[in-house]
Formats: sequence, C-alpha cells, structure tokens
Amino acid sequence: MTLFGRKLWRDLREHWAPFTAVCLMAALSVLVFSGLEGSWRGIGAQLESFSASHRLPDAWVSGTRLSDDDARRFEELDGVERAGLVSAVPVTRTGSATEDELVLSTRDRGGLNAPLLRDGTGMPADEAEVPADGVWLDEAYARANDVGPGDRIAVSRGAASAELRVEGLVMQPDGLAHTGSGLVAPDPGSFGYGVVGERAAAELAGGGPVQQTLLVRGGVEAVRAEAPRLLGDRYVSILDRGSHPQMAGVFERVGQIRDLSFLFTALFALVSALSIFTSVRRLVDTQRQEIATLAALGCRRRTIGAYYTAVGAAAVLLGCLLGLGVAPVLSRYILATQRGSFGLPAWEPVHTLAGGAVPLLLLLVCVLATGLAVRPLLRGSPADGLRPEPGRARHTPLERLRPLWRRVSPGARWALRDATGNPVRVAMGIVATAGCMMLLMTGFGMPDTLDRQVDLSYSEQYRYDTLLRLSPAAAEHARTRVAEAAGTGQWMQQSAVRIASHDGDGDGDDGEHPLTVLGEGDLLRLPDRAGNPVALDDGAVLSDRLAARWGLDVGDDLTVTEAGGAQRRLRIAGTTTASEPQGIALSDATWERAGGAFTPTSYLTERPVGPEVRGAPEVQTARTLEQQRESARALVGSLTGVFSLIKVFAVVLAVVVLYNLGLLSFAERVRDYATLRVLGFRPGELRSLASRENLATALLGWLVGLPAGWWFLGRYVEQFSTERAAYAPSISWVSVCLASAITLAFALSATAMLTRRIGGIDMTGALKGVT
Amino acid sequence: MVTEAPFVAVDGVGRSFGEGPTRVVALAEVSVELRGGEFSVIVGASGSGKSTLLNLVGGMDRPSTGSIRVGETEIAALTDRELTRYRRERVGFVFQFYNLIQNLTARENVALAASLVMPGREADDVAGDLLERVGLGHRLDRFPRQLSGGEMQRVAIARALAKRPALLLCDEPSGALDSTTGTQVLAQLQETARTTDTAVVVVTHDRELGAAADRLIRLHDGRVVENRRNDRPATIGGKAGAG
Repeated sequence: MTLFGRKLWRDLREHWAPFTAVCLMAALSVLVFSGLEGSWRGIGAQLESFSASHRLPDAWVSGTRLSDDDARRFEELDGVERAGLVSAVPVTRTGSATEDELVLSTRDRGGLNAPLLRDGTGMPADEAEVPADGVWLDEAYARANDVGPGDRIAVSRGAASAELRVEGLVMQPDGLAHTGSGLVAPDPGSFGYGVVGERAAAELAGGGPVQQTLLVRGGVEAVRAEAPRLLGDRYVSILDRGSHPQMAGVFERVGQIRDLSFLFTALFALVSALSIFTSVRRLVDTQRQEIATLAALGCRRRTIGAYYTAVGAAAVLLGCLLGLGVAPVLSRYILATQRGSFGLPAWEPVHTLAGGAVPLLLLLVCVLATGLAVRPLLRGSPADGLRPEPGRARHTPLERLRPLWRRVSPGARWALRDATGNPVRVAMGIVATAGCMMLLMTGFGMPDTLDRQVDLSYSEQYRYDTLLRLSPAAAEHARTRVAEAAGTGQWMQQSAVRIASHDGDGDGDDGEHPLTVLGEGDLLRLPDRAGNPVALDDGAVLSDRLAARWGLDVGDDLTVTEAGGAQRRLRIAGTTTASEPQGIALSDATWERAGGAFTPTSYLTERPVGPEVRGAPEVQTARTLEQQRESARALVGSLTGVFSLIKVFAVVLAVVVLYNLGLLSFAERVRDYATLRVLGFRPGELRSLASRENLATALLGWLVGLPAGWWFLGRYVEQFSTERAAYAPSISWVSVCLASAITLAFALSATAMLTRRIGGIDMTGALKGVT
Repeated sequence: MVTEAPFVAVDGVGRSFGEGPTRVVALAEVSVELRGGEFSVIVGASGSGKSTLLNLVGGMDRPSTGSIRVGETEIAALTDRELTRYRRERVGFVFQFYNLIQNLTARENVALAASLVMPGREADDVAGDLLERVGLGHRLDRFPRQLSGGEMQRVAIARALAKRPALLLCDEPSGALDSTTGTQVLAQLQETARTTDTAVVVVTHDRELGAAADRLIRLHDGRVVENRRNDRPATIGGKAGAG
C-alpha cells in the first residue's frame, strides 16, 4: 500500500465518526433512489411486457346489442390494429361461505386481453373445443379460496346456475387490479373473474342482459371520436388505459412511486451533501499543519487536493455501494406492499444505470467540498499553514441590539457566535431536524389523510345503504321495478363527457371526465370548502381539482360533449372538495334544463335490500356502503408498511446527522471544555453550555419542520391524487405532537449522548500543545 | 506579603503513568511548601515533572502516592465534585498557550471566569477593571485572534485573577512569547504575588527566573534537587508590574 494509502486508511479510522455519517447518509440517499427505482421500473417493465405479449387493449367500448360486425367496423378506423367483442356475466358462487362474486367473460378470438396461464391446462384455440362447463379462473381468487385445476365450482345468476370445472388458473391483463364493482381495493377472497367459452356464457346469461364490450387495440383517438357515431344509441361509454378503474391505478402507481423517489432522494441527498461538506472541512481544518508540511516538503497541490478528495470519496463510495447493495431489498419490500393493490405476472425489481446518478452527484459534491476547503490553504504559503490558526470568531448581527446583548450570558454569546461562524454546520442541524419532522409528519399524516377521507366519504358524503348498479340495457319499466322493490332511494347517472370549452384558462378537451347526475334525494352529498352540502339545483358543481386546473369559478360556463356528440352548456354554481366522484355533478333537473336526458345507471337505497333485489336480472352488482368502507380501509391498511418505513428513515436521518454534528462540535471545542473544567466549571454547567447550540438548532429545525412538513405532506398527497380520486392533506394534532415529540427526543438524545462525554475529558491531555 | 504558615504542603507525592514495562514515574517523593503572597518558581528540564506537579497542586490530576494539603484540605482525598469546587474557588491557572475561548472577547473571557464566583453584572465590571489593571483597557472588545501573544497572555492572567484565587498556577506563561513581552508578563505575576495574598507558582525551564523568585524549586527526573528561599529576590523588568 502506498504511504498515502496508509494515511487514508488511518485518517478514516481516526475520524471514523463523521465519515461514518457521510457513508450512512450517502447509503440512505442511494438506497431510497435505487430502491424505489427498482420497484417502479419493475412494475413498469412487467406492465409493458405483459401488455405487449398478451395484447392489453387500449380502449374498452361498452355498448348494448353489439355484434362482430361492430368489431369489424371499428377495425377499419385509423390506427386500429384489432377490435374484438367479449361478453361478461356477473355470477355468484354458490356453496361458498360468503357469496363470492365472479365476473365470467368470453375471450376475444383475435387474442386481445389474452389470459396468461399460471396453472392447469390452457384454453383451446378453437372455440369449438372449449369445454361447455370449463372455466379458467382468476389465479388470485383461486389461491385465496383454495381452488385449483380440476376442482368444480357452482355458480348462479338469477334462475340460471351451472357447475363449472376449473381447467386452469389465469391472469388477464385488464384484471390485474380486479375489484368488486364499486370497491377500491382488491379482495380476492370474495371477488374474482374467470374466462369461459361462449356456450357457458350464453347459458349463464339465462336470457338476461350481459355486459358487452368491444376491446380495441390501437387508434384510441379515432375510436374515441367515432364510437358514438358507429354505435348510435347502443353506445354506453369508452374507457382507455388512463380511465379504466381496474387498470389506471396500476399505470399511475409507476409514476407515483417514481415521483416519490425524487422527492425523498432530494431531501436525503441534501443532507448527504451537507454532511460531506462539514466532514471534509473538519478534516482539512484539523490537518492544516499537515497540509502545510506536505506543501513545504514539495508535494504538488494537485496531489494534496486529490488525497483529501479521496478521503471523502472513499466514505461516499462505500456508502453508495452499501446503498446499492441493499436497494434490491428495499425494492422487493416496496413491491410486496403493492400486492394488496394489484397483481403482476412477476414481482422483480429492475435497476438501471440511472441509479448511478445519485452516487455521481455525491462524488461531485465531495470534489467541490474538498476544493473549497483545501484551496485557501494551498493558495497561501506553507509557512502560513504551519502557524497556529488565527481563529474565525466574529460578531453576530444580534450584538447590534446592545440592550438585548447585554443581557446575554457569556455562555450564550459563545454559542451564538459559534453558530455564526459555522453556518453550514448549523444549517445541517436545522435541515436534519426539519427533515426528520417532515418525514414524520408525512409518515403520520398520510394515514390520517386517508383515514379522514374514508370517514368523510363513507360517513358524511355517502349516506345510502346499498349502491345498485344497473345494466345499461335495463328498460325504464325494469328500473322502476327495482326502485319499488328497493324502497326509498335516489337515482344516479354516471357517464363520461369531454369538455368542449370553458371560460377559464387553456383549451377545452384534455380527456374524459366523470359526469354525475343525481335524481331527487339526499343520499349523496357533495361538500363545499366549508364542509356544507353543495346545492345541485342551481347549476353544475365542479370538483376543486378541475376548477383549479382550468381557473374556473362560480358563474363561469363550460360546455360538455356527451357520448353521442351532443353538447350541453352548463353554468358553474359551486365547487366541491369531494374526493370521489371527481369531475362534474348536477341534479337531473339542471341536466335536463341543459338539454340532457337523465338515464340513471345506479340506484342508491336508503335501507338494506333483500336477495330478490340483488338477484334481479337488471341489477349487475349490489354493494353496501359498509363493504365499500371496508374496502377503502383495506387499501389504506395495505400502505401501512410504506408509511412505517418513512418514519424509520426519519429517525435514522435525525440520529445519524445530529450525532455526527454533535461529535464535530465536541471535537472542535474539547480544548475549550477542558479549559473551563480547569477554571472550575462543573460538568453540569458545561453540559448546559454545550447543549445550548444543539438545543437551539433542534428547536429551530423543529419550527422550520412544521410548515415544511405540512408542505411535504401536501406534495406526497398530491402524488396519490388521480383523475378519479383527489385527496386533501390532513394531519391530527395527536400526530403533530407525536412527530414533534419523536423529533425532539432524538435530537435531544443525540445531544445528551455527546454532552455526557464532557465529564470524561482529560484536562491535562486536552490542554497540551498549541491552540 | 509572604505568610509564615505554608498554604500548600506537598508531602511525599509521587505520580506515575502506565503499568509494567511502560510505567513512567513523573514524580517521586516530592515534598514542597508554598506560602501565600510568595512568588515561587519551579524550574527543570523537559520531562522533569514540573507541569505534573502543577497539575497535582491545581487539582487537575491525582497523585499516585503522598498527600497535598491546601489550607486544611487534603485535596488528594477529594471527590471529583469537590476538586471542581476547589479549582473554582481557590485556583487560578495560566497556560503556556493561553487557552482563551476564541468566540469570546477579552472582557467576556474574563467575565466568564468571574461569573463563577459573583453575579453576572458584577463579573462584567470586575472583568473591565482587571483588564485595565493589566494594561488592556483599550482592547476589551477584541477577540483573541485580534490580540498579540502578550496581550492574550495578559487576558489569561486577568481571567485567572478574576476569581480572586488563593493559588495562581502558571505553566510556562512566557514560553510562547518574545523576551520583552515575556518579561512583562512575568513582572505582572510577580506584582500580583507582592500585592496580594495569592500564592503565585510559575513553572519554567528558564533558570534565570530563579533570581526573581521568593522560593526556587528545582526538579530533576521527578525529584526535588533544590528547594530554597530567596531573601532578596530581584524585581522582574526592573520595576513592579507591566503597563
């Protein structure tokens, strides 16, 4: 090993504490970036390859009385690669402990949305060879219910029933996040899907309406523009990958995790950079005479600069390697937390060279920090460096306030001037404490936000007992029959519209938005900013998110384009903070005044309904509010692991950085502490002096962390919000107090650990040598 | 005025460091007496045990053997807490390299020490007076980096005197200074002994300073080889104190 190599090793050993902090912070920065990268790229890669290999559709066009001819006409549109018709029948599995719901559908003969075989026998290519009683069952449902190939399951729909043999277990591209209708979280124990032959589907339909969908791959814009014209009054709705409720969330999750990785990495990288800066600077300061000696001996400046860069770089590189090594573990952990939200063919992290961006950044910081620390020394003569350091004491601006300054004790003056002379170190302490507070407020605030939203939505906003979703093909008299049987309730129509124009900023159309029309009743309340229910009879009510995006306010107009191409002009009478539904809401009277037709798609019941209503052929699904609430809570619960991880990161940040800062500060002042011990200061008095600066930094960091934490929580919540559901940040006072208590406890414990060393100072040893 | 009765009685004190083959005997069977108002000088070559003896008398270290009585108190038997109190109330210390707090001005450095034994406002006033006395009345608000070596050492002396100590221990106080400045500093210390009851002890390797001492103690290899009273000590610098 060269002499410099030996010196490097010994310097790192002697200054192990600050360089361990550098190493850990670098590791944390890289871990967060690469760990999250592995998960979002992993999900993205699986989605991409699965979508390509099993031909995930780009659009789902729902309609009534559809035929293969319709599919052929869609195939003639610009850019359309393939269109295929599938039918779906919702059934109930009989004989299970709970009434599980399955959606059994046929497959597209052209291979769109092809199921991936996970177990058992594949579906024959020739439809004629598909067993009439065969089903290829959703793998997640099957595993949750201990069903395997060869087992038989009994299903029914209304009067029709059948016993199906499970031929295989599959995963369908558009079923990755399959939930029960009206639910937000997958519950494979109770809800699943399956693929059956056309004979089985027809038998189960039993003459009742089925859900017909045209799957389309390619040419989405043309399909969107032409579908209403091609289908006429048979057109119901169109979904794409961004709006399909069981697909959109999966694709959005990739972007959410990616954006979060940038948010968190920025914080850790900032603290890392400050750690590097203070540690390298401290090393150079303690070795200024060595540097001068090396220069006096004839060592080139470049060599000396390179050496000190290497010391910092060694710690940074070690940390980065540690972070990169552990990143796949974090990636797998994050992937595991997503399993409650959707499924994938495989859960494998994917890492790329982009993971090298953070190490490269930190190394650049290291070079810069060394340059800034060493250059002043090397610019002067070696003789200057060999003389005792002149000291950096300077007056603080506070001293200009003479009456106030006179009241400040010498010990406090010492702390204040020390802080003024070491702004980077003080900044680091404040950033670390504020960062800890930010992360803790986010770790506590996210569950608060989601829990509060669940409470708001499912207690104050939705006031029905059961949501009955009706078949689009249900006639008027059938709907009336359902309402009579279900009792008092409220009709609701939900469709998608495009915005043709509006009075606000920007152009009109940027995609489809939900339109909710409510009949007479009070079972769904949309709150305004004050929490009061917004009246729907005075005009259209716009979700806050859209209103903010387009700069619209009460009194402004907007024009919407319905599925059939008809345009309706609406006046905005209010905005709502409701998380769901997003988009536009209005009463049936307002809609009809604007020229629209009120064609309800759902019925909200005031009281529980019996099996005769649930099993009616017009009723596709019946979902109680309690089921929806539990589903939402399950989704929140599945994210607990991530929020706990954020809290752990917060504590690590505080402890590592503040302990390191305390050590640096202690090392710089040990001679002063020894002098004061000799003068007769008691250890307790010295601890009080020593902790003053740390306490002030901790308090200041906490104060900064409060608004910063609120801001950070807001950014995090923003990542979670989508076109379908928006969230508003919320944090309880208990959570704020907890976050504060934890932050201050760890900040103060780091101080206590260090100030305890004061009692053990060797006075005679510390006071030897030149100041 | 030198008191008759000894203020500090060091009796058979030894101090060793380490064990086994690495054991070093810094002091062996040292016995000396120091009196109030006396200007004592301890001389010896490097490694003779001068600083070790000073540290023991100053309560910064504990003897391995023997006893050290300061007044009625056996300091070798004191607990850490009691030793801190001893240093706080009875001892002033002047170091070779000043050891001033860099972030405090001259006045604040002195006031810091004074605040240990008096209220804050009084400490401030006493600091100003002491600095005037040592000729630094015009440098009260300067930081140590803005002072010369001699000025820093005078601030250190003022700080040591701020507590009105019974014992003023000075470890090579002129070691880092040029000869003129060093003489001024030593003169200041001698003046303090002559005008107060403070026992001033100066450790130095400058043998010529012995002529100015009321008592000269010479150490060699950890043992006292000379301990004599000087009835006609010279005045350092030719006149008392430094302006």
